Amino acid sequence: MATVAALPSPVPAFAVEYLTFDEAQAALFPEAQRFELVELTLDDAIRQKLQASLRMPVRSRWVVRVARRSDQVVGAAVIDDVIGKFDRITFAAGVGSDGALRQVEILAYRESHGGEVRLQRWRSQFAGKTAASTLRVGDDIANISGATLSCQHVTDGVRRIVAVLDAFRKAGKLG
Amino acid sequence: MTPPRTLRRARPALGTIVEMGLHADGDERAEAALRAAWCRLAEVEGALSAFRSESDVARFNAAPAGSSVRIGGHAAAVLRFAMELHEASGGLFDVSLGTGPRAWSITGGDSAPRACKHSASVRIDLGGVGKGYAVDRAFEALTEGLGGDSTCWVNAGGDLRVGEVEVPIYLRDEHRGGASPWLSLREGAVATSHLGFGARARLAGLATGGPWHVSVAAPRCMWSDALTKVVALTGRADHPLLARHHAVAWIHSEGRACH
Repeated sequence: MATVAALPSPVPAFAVEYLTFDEAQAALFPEAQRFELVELTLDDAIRQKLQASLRMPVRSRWVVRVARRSDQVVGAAVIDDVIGKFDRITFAAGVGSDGALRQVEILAYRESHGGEVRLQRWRSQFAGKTAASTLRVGDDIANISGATLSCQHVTDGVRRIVAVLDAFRKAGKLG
Repeated sequence: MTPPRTLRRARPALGTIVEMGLHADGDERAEAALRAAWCRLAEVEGALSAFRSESDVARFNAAPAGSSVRIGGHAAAVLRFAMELHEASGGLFDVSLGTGPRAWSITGGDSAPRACKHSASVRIDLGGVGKGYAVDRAFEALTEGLGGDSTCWVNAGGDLRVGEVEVPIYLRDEHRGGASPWLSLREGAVATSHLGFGARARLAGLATGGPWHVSVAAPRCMWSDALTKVVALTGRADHPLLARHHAVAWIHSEGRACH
């Protein structure tokens, strides 16, 4: 077997922006005429109950996008981030007014150099559209192959959003 | 005339992040094609996932010995291919994962296929081939939705199919993170299996020096997906089954590639 030895090449980070916040909420609730942005706080006792049942941390403050058609609330969407081994994924989950999950859309996917993904400074550089010099934004439609990425973090994040929105709905906070 | 713009969407599916992309002239047709492709993907996942109790595979696994279950066209197509590859690989490729390689069969032709269970212990897991099949079907749905135009691609967490468009593929460094330029793909598929510590597959004859990756490029993603397992199990990037499927294989370790 011939072995081709290669010098370790520079390892670029990688990012794809799929949808803006506005595009994502429209994709989740195409029938909505407007979205109302509300910041809601979970009651501490409810928050602790959710943490125990979900077995994951649940923060108290949530920005919720309430989808409305005329005077009716058709559902609510939450945009959140999850961090995997080398990746940070921004996603949106939309839940109908019946409490059922409508759809999940990925807004942005970023593949980092190892370790950096956990650093706040690394995270904050994505706050705008400006990318670091080593960051490849997906205009050249590059794709990554490798070990299959797990979507477990996204799945867990979606579960949390469904439970949190359920708590807000039951508390009458979604209008 | 405005140049076609690239439309990319991603959702969690098949236990990973699935991306679909296309060059779109008219947004409406492109959006409809994407919707149809996501539906097709969900349909295939619903039939093949061992984790969904109502899937064809889960119903087969739950069935008693000596019985048969009605299955749909998706499960029948994958199982028939799995059976062929099992025979052709001398038993290496095995969707029963050792629980009963010859303890299942398909009957009933294309109109009413059934999966027959010949032993109580046999369990089918299409993890080594189903994702590639799902990618192929979603890719077809995209192409159909675009009226036969295949300037599109589908990537299920690294197992991907590309149409008439040049797509650069980067290989993820599983150890340090990041990704390095690797190859450029047009009209074909590539799948990669990771053979690191704790991975289900082991790379025959290359037990040390890992973690390893096996990548296979082939005309169809189902072939790429399944053939990575044959290469991993034999340690041969020149396995004769590759040529039979017009495929090329690579075995990579961190910082090195072996042919």
